[in-house]
This record gives sequence, C-alpha cells and structure tokens, in this order.
Amino acid sequence: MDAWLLTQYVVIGLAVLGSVAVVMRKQFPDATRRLRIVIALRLLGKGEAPWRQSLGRRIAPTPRTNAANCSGCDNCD
Amino acid sequence: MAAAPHAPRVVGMEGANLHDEVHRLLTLAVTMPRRTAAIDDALDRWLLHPLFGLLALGLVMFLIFQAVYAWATPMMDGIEAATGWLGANVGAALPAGPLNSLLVDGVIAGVGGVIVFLPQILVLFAFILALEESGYLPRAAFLLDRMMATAGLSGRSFIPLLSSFACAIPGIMATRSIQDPRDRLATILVAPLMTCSARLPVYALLIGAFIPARDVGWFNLQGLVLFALYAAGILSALLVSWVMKKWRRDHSEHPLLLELPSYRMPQLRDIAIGLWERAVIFLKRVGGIILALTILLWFLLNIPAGVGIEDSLAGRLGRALEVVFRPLGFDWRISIALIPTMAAREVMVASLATVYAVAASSEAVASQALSPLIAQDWSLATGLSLLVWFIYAPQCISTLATIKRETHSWKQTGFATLYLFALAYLASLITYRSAVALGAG
Repeated sequence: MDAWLLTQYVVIGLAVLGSVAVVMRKQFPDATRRLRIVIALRLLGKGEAPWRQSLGRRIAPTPRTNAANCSGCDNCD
Repeated sequence: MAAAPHAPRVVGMEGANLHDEVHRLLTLAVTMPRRTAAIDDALDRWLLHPLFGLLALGLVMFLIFQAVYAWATPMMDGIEAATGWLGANVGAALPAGPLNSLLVDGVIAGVGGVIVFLPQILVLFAFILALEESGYLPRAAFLLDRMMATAGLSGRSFIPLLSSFACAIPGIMATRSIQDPRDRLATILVAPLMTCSARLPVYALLIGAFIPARDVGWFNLQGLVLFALYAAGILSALLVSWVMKKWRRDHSEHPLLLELPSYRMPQLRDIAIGLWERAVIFLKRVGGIILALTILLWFLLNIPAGVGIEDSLAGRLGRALEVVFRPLGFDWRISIALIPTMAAREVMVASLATVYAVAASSEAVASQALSPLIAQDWSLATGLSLLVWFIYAPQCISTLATIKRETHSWKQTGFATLYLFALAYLASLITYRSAVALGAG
C-alpha cells in the first residue's frame, strides 16, 4: 500500500470516527456522557501514567449547569 | 363613631338613576383618552372579522408560500452553481481515490444538496418574523381559537403550534404555558404534524423534481403545492386532536384570554437579527449532524471495498428495508436515506445526493443536481408518496426525546411515535396506490 493511499485511509478513518462522535453526542447525549465518565474514571485511576491522566481529564464531560434550558434543534449539550 | 364613608349623598336618587347621573356628569366634565389607537380599531374591524379575518389570514399564508418560490430561486441557482463548481474543482484537483470520492460524492454532494435550500428557509422566516413584529400573530391566535376549540385544542395551543413551524422541539417545550394537562398533552401530540423548517428542503427537492414550474392563473404551481403541504399538516393536526377529543371523557373547553398588542411597522433590524439567527442555526446543523451523517452514509456505501453500491453494507440494509417500504413505492435507495433521516429531516436530501453520487456510473452524472436525477429515476407516484410520508412521519429522534422529557411518559412517547408512523404509512400507501391507479406509476 503506497503512502498516499494510506494517508487517505487515515483521513477517512478520522472523519468517520469524528462523525460517530458528533452523532452520538447530538442524538444520544446522556449515553455519551455516561460513556465519557466511565472512560475518564478508568484513565484517572491511581497510578496511571501522566499522559493517560491528562487524556482522562480531556475526555471527562463538563459538569451540567443548566441543561434543562437547552432547547431547539441545535441541542446545546 | 365616624359616618359610613360610602353613604349615599344624593337624596332621592338610587340604583340605576344614580349611575346614569354619574355617567352624564362624567360625559360633560371628562374627556376620556382612547384605550386603543384608531388605526388598530380600523384594522381589527377587518382582520378580526369572523369571515374576512380568516380570508385575510389564508391569503397572507398563501402569498408567503408563493414568495418562497418566486424570490428564493435566483439565490438557490447561485448556491447550486457554486456547489457544482466546487465539486468539479475538488474532483479535478485530487487524484482519483477514496478521499476524492468522500469529498466530492459525500461531503460536497450531500452538504451542498442541503445548503441550497437556505434561501427558501430565510424567505419563509422573513415573513414569519415580519408578521410577529407587526402584532398580527396574536390576532391569528384569536381568529383560530374557535376552530381550535372545535378540534379539541385551546387558543393557548396556538403559540406552541406556531413555534413548531420552526422546529417541533421549542414548540413542545412551549406547551409548558398551557396549564390544563389534557390540553397540553393534545398539543404535544399534534405539534410534530406542523411543518417544521427541516421539512422544507425535502419538500422543495421533491416539488422541484415532480411539479412543473408553471403558473396557474396568477399563481406559481410549485408554490400552490407547498401551500397545500403546509395546509395538510395543519388540517391533519386539527383532525387528530378532534379524534382525541372524541376519545376522552372530559369534553369541557377552556376559554382563551389574550391581550392584543398594537399594530406596528416591523423593524428591518429586528428581522435581520432574526434571519441571522435562523441562518446560523441552519448552517450549524449542516456543518454538524448533517455533515457527520453524510460521511457515515458515504462510509457505509463504500464498505466492503471493491463491491458495487447494492452489495455495500448500506445497500444490503436498504434492500432489507425495501420489503417494508416497497408498497409505498420506495426503492432501496430511498429506504437507505430514510435511516439517517431519523436524526434530522434535511438529511434525506443529503443522503439521496450521496447515494446517487456514489451510484453514478460517470463523473458527469455524479456532479448533476439531485432534482433532475430523481425526476428521471422515480415515478410521479413515488414522489407524491414520499411527500406525503414527510407530512406525518416522526423522522426526528430529538422530537421524540423532547416528548418523553415533557410528558415523563414512555407510554405517551410510544403512542406519538406509533400513531405518526402509522399515519405516514397509511397516507403514503393511499397516495401511491391512488396515483398508480390514475396512471402516474
């Protein structure tokens, strides 16, 4: 497989993963939130490597403040 | 002990005589300011008239849908040309391969197919905002109150139902202002039948493909059909709420108390801000959920690699669903497009554009606009059946989630989903079979 084809597959893979994330976040916000919390807790466990802890902090969702007021087709969650 | 403060002081004058005397004196001594502006009274005499008022409301709505077609076309042609130019240039600049296909057949064909309808959405909302600013909308609520009460809704349902023309979600949330739980539930259940702005791209695509762009008398035929689709949504909502009213035990009606604001000239700046907000919401959806679903659909249409579109994962899924939708005239490609449409109705256009672009045998066909492609490929009966499907089908998960959140009931959410799908299937089936019987198949 040449480098250009490999690059194309990597870009497409990233685009597909990003799309899955967007669809999950928009259509199933509660399930996505729970999943992020589970993954973040695993990565933030005691004795984990610093890079894993940093990744866990990035994955952890922000606390809900006023989610009940989010309305309209452009869900703000 | 002090005397009673309100003891009669006019001896020999009591009751009605006393009031008449007071009125006479007040008329002589006091000039009362008008409670309403003269222009408001003059306009309301006509616009709130039980017959002329309803005629005026119908005429206003009718003219809005005519304008949606007449005014938006030049802008839509411009966006379509720009999308075609972009697709051709990106296709030429990138070597042939999967990335080229993703960008040209997936992203540009799919997203470009939806974005082209932005001008129509903006024209429609310009009128709605102008009517809102002018103070006419509460009068429309007043006019329709009697009709809505007959159908089992209250006048308070008007604003939530009107909001549902933009999107059913804020409309359903706006039902919180309806105090009576029975009226509130009835409004929630019929709100998805109001034609939300997400349906407009689908209607515009199908009308553009199957309804000839000619005039009928003074009117544009495509505008007439669009008006009929909106009217069908409203009438269906009234019919459904009437049936629900017949089912329930409590037949009481709740009177509407409404303050009518003065008429005023709509401010251009306010309308411009409102339009900007609508455009941003639409473009955020295009760049978010619609783009994401287009990429996923392109991916499913291309795996496993090296097989034709019919044998791809999405193709196989589409053919499995075709069994259910065949009686409505929907083939496997339409059946595929209906799945991502559950996330947002506009995705139907993007999905069809992607399916047709990926399936196209040549680049020239792939870069064609979607409308002539489906006009060649589908029968008129299929086009009409799909139009009718979109009047009723609850093709939006977010709306169903909002119904669950507002009713706190899976039972009501399940009922809404089932009755809307059943209505959609039945109405599409009748439309398709009737059209085929009349020779449009």
